[in-house]
Amino acid sequence: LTITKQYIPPLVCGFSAAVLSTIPGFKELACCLVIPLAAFFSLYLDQKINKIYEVISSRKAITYGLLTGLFAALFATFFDMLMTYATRSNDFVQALPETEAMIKDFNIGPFVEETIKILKTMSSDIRTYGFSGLYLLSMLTSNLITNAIFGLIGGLLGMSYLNKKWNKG
Amino acid sequence: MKNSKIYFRFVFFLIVLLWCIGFSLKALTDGSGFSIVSSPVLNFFYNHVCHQDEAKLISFNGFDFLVCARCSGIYIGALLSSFFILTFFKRIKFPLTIFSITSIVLLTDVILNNFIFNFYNKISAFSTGLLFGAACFFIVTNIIEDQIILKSKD
Repeated sequence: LTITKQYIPPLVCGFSAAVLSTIPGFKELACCLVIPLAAFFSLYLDQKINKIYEVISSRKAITYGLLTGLFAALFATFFDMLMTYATRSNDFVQALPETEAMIKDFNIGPFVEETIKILKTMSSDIRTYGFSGLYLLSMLTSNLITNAIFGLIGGLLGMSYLNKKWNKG
Repeated sequence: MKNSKIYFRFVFFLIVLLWCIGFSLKALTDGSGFSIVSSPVLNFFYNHVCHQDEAKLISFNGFDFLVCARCSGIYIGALLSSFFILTFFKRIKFPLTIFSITSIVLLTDVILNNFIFNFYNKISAFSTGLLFGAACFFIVTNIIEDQIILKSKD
Protein backbone atom coordinates (compact mmCIF):
# COMPACT_ATOMS: atom_id res chain seq x y z
CA LEU A 1 0.00 0.00 0.00
CA THR A 2 1.55 3.32 -1.02
CA ILE A 3 1.72 6.23 1.40
CA THR A 4 -0.38 8.43 -0.91
CA LYS A 5 -3.17 5.87 -1.03
CA GLN A 6 -3.15 5.63 2.75
CA TYR A 7 -3.78 9.35 3.15
CA ILE A 8 -6.59 9.63 0.60
CA PRO A 9 -9.51 8.51 2.88
CA PRO A 10 -8.69 10.93 5.77
CA LEU A 11 -8.06 13.71 3.23
CA VAL A 12 -11.36 13.16 1.40
CA CYS A 13 -13.38 12.74 4.61
CA GLY A 14 -11.63 15.67 6.33
CA PHE A 15 -12.34 17.88 3.33
CA SER A 16 -16.02 16.78 3.23
CA ALA A 17 -16.37 17.46 6.97
CA ALA A 18 -14.84 20.93 6.51
CA VAL A 19 -17.26 21.68 3.64
CA LEU A 20 -20.21 20.53 5.77
CA SER A 21 -19.00 22.65 8.69
CA THR A 22 -19.38 25.82 6.61
CA ILE A 23 -23.12 25.22 6.16
CA PRO A 24 -25.20 27.12 8.75
CA GLY A 25 -26.87 24.60 11.02
CA PHE A 26 -24.17 22.02 10.40
CA LYS A 27 -21.50 24.34 11.76
CA GLU A 28 -22.56 23.71 15.35
CA LEU A 29 -22.69 19.96 14.81
CA ALA A 30 -19.30 19.89 13.11
CA CYS A 31 -17.19 18.80 16.04
CA CYS A 32 -19.45 16.43 17.89
CA LEU A 33 -21.18 14.74 14.94
CA VAL A 34 -19.58 15.52 11.58
CA ILE A 35 -15.92 15.01 12.58
CA PRO A 36 -16.45 11.66 14.38
CA LEU A 37 -18.57 10.46 11.43
CA ALA A 38 -15.86 11.61 9.00
CA ALA A 39 -13.26 9.63 10.97
CA PHE A 40 -15.52 6.58 10.86
CA PHE A 41 -16.03 6.95 7.10
CA SER A 42 -12.31 7.38 6.47
CA LEU A 43 -11.73 3.94 8.04
CA TYR A 44 -14.62 2.50 6.04
CA LEU A 45 -13.43 4.15 2.84
CA ASP A 46 -9.92 2.81 3.40
CA GLN A 47 -11.30 -0.73 3.61
CA LYS A 48 -13.30 -0.20 0.42
CA ILE A 49 -10.80 1.57 -1.84
CA ASN A 50 -7.74 -0.37 -0.74
CA LYS A 51 -9.71 -3.64 -0.54
CA ILE A 52 -8.40 -4.42 2.96
CA TYR A 53 -10.55 -7.02 4.63
CA GLU A 54 -9.00 -7.49 8.04
CA VAL A 55 -9.47 -6.33 11.63
CA ILE A 56 -8.56 -2.64 12.06
CA SER A 57 -5.76 -2.04 14.55
CA SER A 58 -6.10 0.63 17.25
CA ARG A 59 -2.98 2.32 15.91
CA LYS A 60 -4.58 2.69 12.49
CA ALA A 61 -7.87 3.91 14.01
CA ILE A 62 -6.07 6.58 16.03
CA THR A 63 -3.95 7.67 13.04
CA TYR A 64 -6.97 7.91 10.74
CA GLY A 65 -9.06 9.70 13.39
CA LEU A 66 -6.33 12.24 14.08
CA LEU A 67 -5.54 12.75 10.39
CA THR A 68 -9.22 13.27 9.53
CA GLY A 69 -9.50 15.82 12.35
CA LEU A 70 -6.29 17.52 11.23
CA PHE A 71 -7.35 17.79 7.58
CA ALA A 72 -10.83 18.95 8.61
CA ALA A 73 -9.29 21.64 10.86
CA LEU A 74 -6.96 22.88 8.11
CA PHE A 75 -9.68 23.00 5.45
CA ALA A 76 -12.29 24.50 7.83
CA THR A 77 -9.86 27.26 8.83
CA PHE A 78 -9.04 27.89 5.16
CA PHE A 79 -12.74 28.15 4.23
CA ASP A 80 -13.43 30.44 7.18
CA MET A 81 -10.52 32.69 6.18
CA LEU A 82 -11.73 32.72 2.58
CA MET A 83 -15.26 33.73 3.61
CA THR A 84 -13.90 36.32 6.07
CA TYR A 85 -11.76 37.78 3.29
CA ALA A 86 -14.69 37.92 0.88
CA THR A 87 -17.22 39.41 3.32
CA ARG A 88 -14.81 41.42 5.55
CA SER A 89 -16.85 40.13 8.49
CA ASN A 90 -17.52 37.00 10.54
CA ASP A 91 -19.18 35.77 13.74
CA PHE A 92 -16.36 37.18 15.85
CA VAL A 93 -16.64 40.71 14.38
CA GLN A 94 -20.42 40.69 14.73
CA ALA A 95 -20.33 39.52 18.36
CA LEU A 96 -17.52 41.87 19.48
CA PRO A 97 -19.64 44.92 20.52
CA GLU A 98 -21.76 42.67 22.73
CA THR A 99 -18.70 40.99 24.26
CA GLU A 100 -17.05 44.37 24.81
CA ALA A 101 -20.12 45.76 26.57
CA MET A 102 -20.34 42.69 28.79
CA ILE A 103 -16.69 42.91 29.83
CA LYS A 104 -16.88 46.68 30.46
CA ASP A 105 -19.95 46.17 32.66
CA PHE A 106 -17.83 44.31 35.18
CA ASN A 107 -15.19 47.06 35.35
CA ILE A 108 -12.31 44.92 36.60
CA GLY A 109 -9.12 46.86 36.01
CA PRO A 110 -6.53 47.66 33.33
CA PHE A 111 -6.07 44.07 32.16
CA VAL A 112 -9.52 44.24 30.62
CA GLU A 113 -8.53 47.28 28.57
CA GLU A 114 -5.63 45.30 27.11
CA THR A 115 -7.92 42.39 26.26
CA ILE A 116 -10.40 44.69 24.55
CA LYS A 117 -7.57 46.40 22.68
CA ILE A 118 -6.37 43.08 21.25
CA LEU A 119 -9.90 42.05 20.29
CA LYS A 120 -10.52 45.43 18.64
CA THR A 121 -7.27 45.16 16.64
CA MET A 122 -8.37 41.75 15.36
CA SER A 123 -11.79 43.09 14.43
CA SER A 124 -10.41 46.20 12.73
CA ASP A 125 -7.89 44.12 10.71
CA ILE A 126 -10.69 41.87 9.52
CA ARG A 127 -12.89 44.81 8.50
CA THR A 128 -10.05 46.63 6.73
CA TYR A 129 -8.02 43.86 5.11
CA GLY A 130 -10.32 40.86 5.48
CA PHE A 131 -7.58 39.08 7.38
CA SER A 132 -6.08 39.00 10.87
CA GLY A 133 -3.03 36.90 11.76
CA LEU A 134 -4.10 36.62 15.38
CA TYR A 135 -7.58 35.50 14.37
CA LEU A 136 -6.08 32.90 12.02
CA LEU A 137 -3.84 31.61 14.81
CA SER A 138 -6.63 31.35 17.37
CA MET A 139 -9.03 29.82 14.84
CA LEU A 140 -6.47 27.24 13.72
CA THR A 141 -5.49 26.34 17.29
CA SER A 142 -9.04 25.86 18.50
CA ASN A 143 -9.99 23.91 15.34
CA LEU A 144 -6.94 21.67 15.62
CA ILE A 145 -7.56 20.88 19.28
CA THR A 146 -11.29 20.19 19.04
CA ASN A 147 -11.16 18.34 15.69
CA ALA A 148 -8.24 16.18 16.79
CA ILE A 149 -10.09 15.15 19.98
CA PHE A 150 -13.37 14.38 18.21
CA GLY A 151 -11.59 12.75 15.25
CA LEU A 152 -9.77 10.47 17.66
CA ILE A 153 -13.02 9.51 19.39
CA GLY A 154 -14.68 8.90 15.98
CA GLY A 155 -11.75 6.74 14.84
CA LEU A 156 -11.86 4.58 17.95
CA LEU A 157 -15.64 4.17 17.85
CA GLY A 158 -15.46 3.47 14.10
CA MET A 159 -12.84 0.78 14.70
CA SER A 160 -15.05 -0.79 17.34
CA TYR A 161 -18.07 -0.89 15.01
CA LEU A 162 -16.20 -2.06 11.93
CA ASN A 163 -14.33 -4.77 13.85
CA LYS A 164 -17.59 -5.98 15.40
CA LYS A 165 -19.06 -6.28 11.90
CA TRP A 166 -15.89 -8.08 10.75
CA ASN A 167 -16.02 -10.53 13.68
CA LYS A 168 -19.68 -11.29 12.97
CA GLY A 169 -18.97 -11.83 9.30
CA MET B 1 -4.24 -2.61 38.60
CA LYS B 2 -1.13 -1.58 36.66
CA ASN B 3 0.37 1.86 37.33
CA SER B 4 0.16 2.86 33.66
CA LYS B 5 -3.59 2.30 33.77
CA ILE B 6 -3.99 4.45 36.90
CA TYR B 7 -1.91 7.26 35.38
CA PHE B 8 -3.90 7.04 32.18
CA ARG B 9 -7.20 7.24 34.05
CA PHE B 10 -5.96 10.14 36.17
CA VAL B 11 -4.75 12.12 33.14
CA PHE B 12 -8.03 11.46 31.34
CA PHE B 13 -9.98 12.66 34.39
CA LEU B 14 -7.88 15.85 34.59
CA ILE B 15 -8.41 16.63 30.88
CA VAL B 16 -12.19 16.23 31.17
CA LEU B 17 -12.21 18.22 34.42
CA LEU B 18 -10.32 21.10 32.78
CA TRP B 19 -12.69 21.02 29.82
CA CYS B 20 -15.71 21.22 32.16
CA ILE B 21 -14.16 24.00 34.27
CA GLY B 22 -13.58 25.94 31.03
CA PHE B 23 -17.24 26.15 30.04
CA SER B 24 -18.53 26.67 33.60
CA LEU B 25 -15.79 28.97 34.93
CA LYS B 26 -18.00 32.05 35.26
CA ALA B 27 -20.73 30.14 37.08
CA LEU B 28 -18.33 28.25 39.34
CA THR B 29 -16.31 31.33 40.38
CA ASP B 30 -19.39 33.52 40.76
CA GLY B 31 -18.28 35.80 37.91
CA SER B 32 -14.74 36.40 39.15
CA GLY B 33 -12.47 38.92 37.43
CA PHE B 34 -10.39 36.17 35.86
CA SER B 35 -13.47 34.43 34.44
CA ILE B 36 -14.70 37.70 32.89
CA VAL B 37 -11.33 38.54 31.35
CA SER B 38 -10.91 35.02 29.97
CA SER B 39 -14.51 34.83 28.73
CA PRO B 40 -13.81 36.19 25.17
CA VAL B 41 -11.12 33.54 24.65
CA LEU B 42 -13.19 30.75 26.20
CA ASN B 43 -16.27 31.91 24.29
CA PHE B 44 -14.32 31.80 21.04
CA PHE B 45 -13.00 28.32 21.86
CA TYR B 46 -16.33 26.78 22.91
CA ASN B 47 -18.06 28.46 19.96
CA HIS B 48 -16.46 25.77 17.79
CA VAL B 49 -17.93 23.05 19.95
CA CYS B 50 -21.45 24.35 20.48
CA HIS B 51 -23.96 26.76 18.91
CA GLN B 52 -24.27 28.61 22.28
CA ASP B 53 -27.89 29.54 21.57
CA GLU B 54 -28.93 31.71 24.55
CA ALA B 55 -32.30 30.00 24.94
CA LYS B 56 -30.59 26.63 25.26
CA LEU B 57 -27.93 27.53 27.83
CA ILE B 58 -28.03 26.35 31.43
CA SER B 59 -27.74 28.99 34.14
CA PHE B 60 -25.97 28.34 37.41
CA ASN B 61 -25.27 30.94 40.12
CA GLY B 62 -26.83 33.53 37.80
CA PHE B 63 -24.26 32.91 35.05
CA ASP B 64 -24.71 30.93 31.85
CA PHE B 65 -22.53 27.99 30.90
CA LEU B 66 -20.64 28.52 27.64
CA VAL B 67 -22.24 25.43 26.04
CA CYS B 68 -25.88 24.37 25.64
CA ALA B 69 -27.80 22.02 27.94
CA ARG B 70 -27.11 18.97 25.74
CA CYS B 71 -23.37 19.64 25.45
CA SER B 72 -23.19 20.38 29.21
CA GLY B 73 -24.85 17.00 29.80
CA ILE B 74 -22.38 15.23 27.49
CA TYR B 75 -19.30 16.74 29.14
CA ILE B 76 -20.59 16.38 32.70
CA GLY B 77 -21.51 12.76 31.89
CA ALA B 78 -17.96 12.20 30.67
CA LEU B 79 -16.62 13.84 33.85
CA LEU B 80 -18.77 11.64 36.10
CA SER B 81 -17.77 8.46 34.30
CA SER B 82 -14.10 9.48 34.31
CA PHE B 83 -14.34 9.97 38.08
CA PHE B 84 -16.09 6.61 38.44
CA ILE B 85 -13.42 4.87 36.35
CA LEU B 86 -10.68 6.57 38.37
CA THR B 87 -12.05 5.44 41.73
CA PHE B 88 -13.27 2.02 40.61
CA PHE B 89 -10.07 0.06 40.18
CA LYS B 90 -11.46 -3.04 38.51
CA ARG B 91 -11.54 -3.47 34.77
CA ILE B 92 -14.85 -2.24 33.39
CA LYS B 93 -16.19 -4.00 30.34
CA PHE B 94 -18.69 -1.77 28.59
CA PRO B 95 -20.75 -3.26 25.72
CA LEU B 96 -21.02 -1.31 22.47
CA THR B 97 -24.78 -1.97 22.46
CA ILE B 98 -25.31 0.39 25.42
CA PHE B 99 -23.44 3.11 23.58
CA SER B 100 -25.63 2.51 20.51
CA ILE B 101 -28.78 2.73 22.66
CA THR B 102 -27.72 6.01 24.28
CA SER B 103 -26.86 7.41 20.82
CA ILE B 104 -30.33 6.49 19.55
CA VAL B 105 -31.98 8.05 22.65
CA LEU B 106 -29.97 11.25 22.14
CA LEU B 107 -30.79 11.39 18.44
CA THR B 108 -34.50 10.78 19.13
CA ASP B 109 -34.50 13.63 21.65
CA VAL B 110 -32.82 15.93 19.09
CA ILE B 111 -35.43 15.05 16.44
CA LEU B 112 -38.40 15.35 18.85
CA ASN B 113 -37.24 18.63 20.41
CA ASN B 114 -36.03 20.39 17.29
CA PHE B 115 -38.15 19.10 14.44
CA ILE B 116 -41.42 17.66 15.78
CA PHE B 117 -42.41 19.58 18.93
CA ASN B 118 -40.24 22.63 18.18
CA PHE B 119 -39.76 23.06 21.90
CA TYR B 120 -36.35 22.76 23.51
CA ASN B 121 -36.57 20.91 26.79
CA LYS B 122 -33.40 21.62 28.75
CA ILE B 123 -33.97 18.76 31.19
CA SER B 124 -34.38 16.08 28.52
CA ALA B 125 -31.51 17.55 26.49
CA PHE B 126 -29.25 17.53 29.57
CA SER B 127 -30.21 14.04 30.73
CA THR B 128 -29.92 12.37 27.29
CA GLY B 129 -26.59 14.17 26.85
CA LEU B 130 -25.46 12.96 30.28
CA LEU B 131 -26.19 9.32 29.38
CA PHE B 132 -24.52 9.62 25.99
CA GLY B 133 -21.45 11.39 27.40
CA ALA B 134 -21.01 8.79 30.13
CA ALA B 135 -21.42 5.85 27.70
CA CYS B 136 -19.12 7.44 25.12
CA PHE B 137 -16.41 7.99 27.72
CA PHE B 138 -16.70 4.42 29.02
CA ILE B 139 -16.37 3.00 25.49
CA VAL B 140 -13.42 5.18 24.50
CA THR B 141 -11.59 4.41 27.78
CA ASN B 142 -12.34 0.70 27.29
CA ILE B 143 -10.93 0.70 23.77
CA ILE B 144 -7.80 2.65 24.72
CA GLU B 145 -7.09 0.47 27.76
CA ASP B 146 -7.75 -2.81 25.94
CA GLN B 147 -6.09 -2.04 22.65
CA ILE B 148 -3.27 0.29 23.49
CA ILE B 149 -2.16 0.05 27.12
CA LEU B 150 -2.53 -3.73 27.42
CA LYS B 151 -1.04 -4.41 23.96
CA SER B 152 1.95 -2.17 24.63
CA LYS B 153 2.62 -4.15 27.83
CA ASP B 154 2.52 -7.50 25.99
